Amino acid sequence: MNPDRKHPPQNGPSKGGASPGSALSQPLVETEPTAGRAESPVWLVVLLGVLLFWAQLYIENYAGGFNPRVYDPYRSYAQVDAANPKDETGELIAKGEVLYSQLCVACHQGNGMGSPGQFPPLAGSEWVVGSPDRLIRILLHGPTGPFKVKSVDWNPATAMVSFGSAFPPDQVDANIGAILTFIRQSWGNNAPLIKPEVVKRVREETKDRSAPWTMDELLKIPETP
Amino acid sequence: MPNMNVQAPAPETVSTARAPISPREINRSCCLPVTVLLASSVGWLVVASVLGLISAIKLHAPGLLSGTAWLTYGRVYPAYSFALIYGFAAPAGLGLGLWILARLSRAAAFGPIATMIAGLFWNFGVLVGTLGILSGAGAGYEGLEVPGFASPILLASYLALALFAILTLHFRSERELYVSQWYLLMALFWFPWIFTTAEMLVVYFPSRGVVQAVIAGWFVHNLYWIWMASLGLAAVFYFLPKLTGQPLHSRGLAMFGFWSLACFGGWGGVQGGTPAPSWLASVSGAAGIMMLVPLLAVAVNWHMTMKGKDQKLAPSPFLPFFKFGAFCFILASLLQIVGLLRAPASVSGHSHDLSETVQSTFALAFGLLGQFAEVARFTHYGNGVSSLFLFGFFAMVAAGGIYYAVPKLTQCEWPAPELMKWHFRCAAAGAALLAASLIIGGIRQGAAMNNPSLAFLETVRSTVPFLGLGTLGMLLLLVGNCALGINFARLLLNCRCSECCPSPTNPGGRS
Amino acid sequence: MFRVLSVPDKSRRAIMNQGPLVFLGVYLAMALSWLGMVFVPEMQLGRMQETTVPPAGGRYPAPRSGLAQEGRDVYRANGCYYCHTQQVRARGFGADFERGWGARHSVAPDFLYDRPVMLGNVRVGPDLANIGVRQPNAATHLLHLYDPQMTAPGSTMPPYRFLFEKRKISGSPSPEALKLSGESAPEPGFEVVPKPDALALVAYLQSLRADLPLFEAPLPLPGKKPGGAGTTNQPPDGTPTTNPASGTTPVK
Repeated sequence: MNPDRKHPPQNGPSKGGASPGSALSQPLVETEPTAGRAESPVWLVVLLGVLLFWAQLYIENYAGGFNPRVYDPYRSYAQVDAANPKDETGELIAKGEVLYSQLCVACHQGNGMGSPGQFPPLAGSEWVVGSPDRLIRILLHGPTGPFKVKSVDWNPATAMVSFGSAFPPDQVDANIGAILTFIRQSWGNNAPLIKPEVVKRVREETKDRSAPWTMDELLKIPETP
Repeated sequence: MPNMNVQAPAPETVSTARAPISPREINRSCCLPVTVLLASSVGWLVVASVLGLISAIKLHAPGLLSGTAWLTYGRVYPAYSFALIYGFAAPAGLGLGLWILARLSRAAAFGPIATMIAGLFWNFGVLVGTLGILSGAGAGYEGLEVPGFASPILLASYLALALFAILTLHFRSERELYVSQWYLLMALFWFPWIFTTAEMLVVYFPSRGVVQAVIAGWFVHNLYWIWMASLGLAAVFYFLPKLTGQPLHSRGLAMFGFWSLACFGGWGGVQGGTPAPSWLASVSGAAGIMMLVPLLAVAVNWHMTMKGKDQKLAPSPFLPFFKFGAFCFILASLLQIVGLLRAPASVSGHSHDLSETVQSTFALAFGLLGQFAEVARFTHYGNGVSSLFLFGFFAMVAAGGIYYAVPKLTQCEWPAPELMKWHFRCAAAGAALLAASLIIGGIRQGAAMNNPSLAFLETVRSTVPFLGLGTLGMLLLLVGNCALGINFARLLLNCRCSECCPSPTNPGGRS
Repeated sequence: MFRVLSVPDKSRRAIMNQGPLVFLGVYLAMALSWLGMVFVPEMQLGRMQETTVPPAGGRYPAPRSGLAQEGRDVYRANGCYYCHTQQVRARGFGADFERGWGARHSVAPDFLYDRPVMLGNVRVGPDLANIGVRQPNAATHLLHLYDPQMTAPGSTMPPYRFLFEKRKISGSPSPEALKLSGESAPEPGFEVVPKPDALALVAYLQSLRADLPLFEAPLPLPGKKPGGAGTTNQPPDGTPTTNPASGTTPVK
């Protein structure tokens, strides 16, 4: 066939150049690259150390503690929490749950159902979800005499104690507000929170009273709009 | 006299070592699979360049070819990117890698026919994927556009190619592993894992919410900065010492660079501003800054190799490709590193008992880099860096390797050697122009975008001249790549293929 | 350059010559990166449920309507995310807030039900995370898709005419027909009507809103910069807000 002029000459292996006749000093036998034995420069290792130090500083400052709820520009979960509007109801419920378990659960039980014949239920009770003014007074000074709760008459031998003086003066409003908010949001009850300010107002209004309340007295107090 | 460094196999390794064979025989064994891979890669390079030119024009002249859904920018651009990375970069890198692996192992390619079939399957997968993207079936993530029906084809072909390459390495007669072989091992292994993870957790069984985007970003980062970087670095580490006749400056430094790349290169992908928890962007940013270490290791090694003291050879006509590619790799890595870090202006290092000087130095460094990243984010800057990486580094290195290897494999010379020079000039100028215009235009765009008194349309208008320059760069790239394509096509048409396909009367091919 | 790494040459070479050992090292590096960037985010965010909106407690996010989900597919198929982002940066990072692109930064719960999550990387066009708030009018969206130069002169957005159909007016003009004028208006007797894909895409765009405050992204008080920008060690003031802003006037 036609002697293909594009093939290199038959004597000798291919050379390293693209066009025949160039690169005379390219090796006749193709060699593979080898690696020398020079040492790594120490400044590079030092740089690695410096960068590692910097990297851990950077991550410590800007990684938000690896918390999945921390996004730029916040640097920590605490910052995100602080930037959020306070959930007053939630905080009151949480606190009230603790206080209830300490002070109220013995009588009204953990499920808010009370005990037949002894302690009236709180679940579904119109006194709990009704007027805050009446409810706060029950807690501040205690109830006395027969009460009608959910169409059932209650007149327990052991009266409920009052809690108006059970707490130090600087905590009484917050604690009562917390307990009442908790019971108003538990066991199917869904009534609005009772803020500590409201408890304080009622306390001011009744500061001259220390006797417990009867049902008739409470029913005379108007429902707060 | 360059040293040969061919060793006879030690007695204890005789079970897996074969008798050493000559480079000529290795070339002959590699001829079929590698030439097929390289030829298909060049074909896809031309296709990708055309698609890239269309999408570049559309950026500043959006009315072009806007009548049909198949050619809308949102489909042409990902098709260009897919064809460039999977159609060109993968076969070129794998083909050259297989040849380099065989040569360094002093072993014949294992299963050449099967390797060639795997390569053809890969091309089929790329074709299916490209047409799928143009028809609107893209997966929806930049860099992970391959449709779900095309990815199994690609994965299966890749696994076959990787298997044969590993077997070639396994039956090597040269026991010492050179630097390029480490990088090729890393590339062969890394891709299937990131690809499978990305396809499973993003395309087939998507994770909930933004985790998909995090994994997709991680995949793309690994694709560029571990996988493609390894393939390209393997080629540069092979050709730079070989063509200059100098030994590589330091094996220890190369090891340092290799392991630091493996350790830090895989953690990127989440940039500032992403709606993911801030620790992800911090870790990615910190790892990105650490990439300075492998970058410098590689740069020092290459620089000292080029300045080597052994007797110099005549300048090889292929060396400019590798020198340009090496330079662009360093530059692209640096630009990627400085464009990454997000940080507010102040540092509260209250948990450390550090001196104020140290803290304020770091704060200054954070602050400057962070402000730059704030400007570069969401602009063409990122595309400019990718273009520099793909066209300035990878394409040039691959082209240099193709120009060197194909005559050796096929024993046919390039029909038009002067076209190689024109390819280099056009491709180098085009890559530089494209990258510079996108990077500088991107910085200007970012500065304008961060200035709220400028209407958004003003920022768009300010980028148009730069995008025009980018189109010019893309055009130059197309011309250069067509030069390569024409050269290759003519070589294949004129070559007698006796090396690749030995005839019955001459079973060993031309002697 | 100083001498360092005085480990004997031979042992170093031996380790790096063992293919399986190199493979093992690469495997470990790969596994660590996979653990850190894939596994941990999946554990942290992969089982996210709907979240509550403080302080009232509504559920977020609302799932998109069927038409909006189809529109999301059109958005994906036409690659809109190559020019538009859907992520708003926090105040202090860029000018996203000042441009009216969002009342607060984008966070993970915003994308809970989306597949794919098309965050975008380049802003050739404006951010779209709250486009449903800025531009609720469907007709404007349709006009913009048909001829972007009408609604945004100088924009480099391509016209999406293939999402519309030009047809002869039969009887009276269709109520869905676009009100076009000038060069893009059809010749007399013809009208331009959006195809179902266009309507779906517009429904998706109208559903894009991320302005409700969440725990991860409370609405910052006006005048106060949240987080560290410009402040020192003090955490931001936690004064509660009760009236979240309902969006800002867009700055064009």
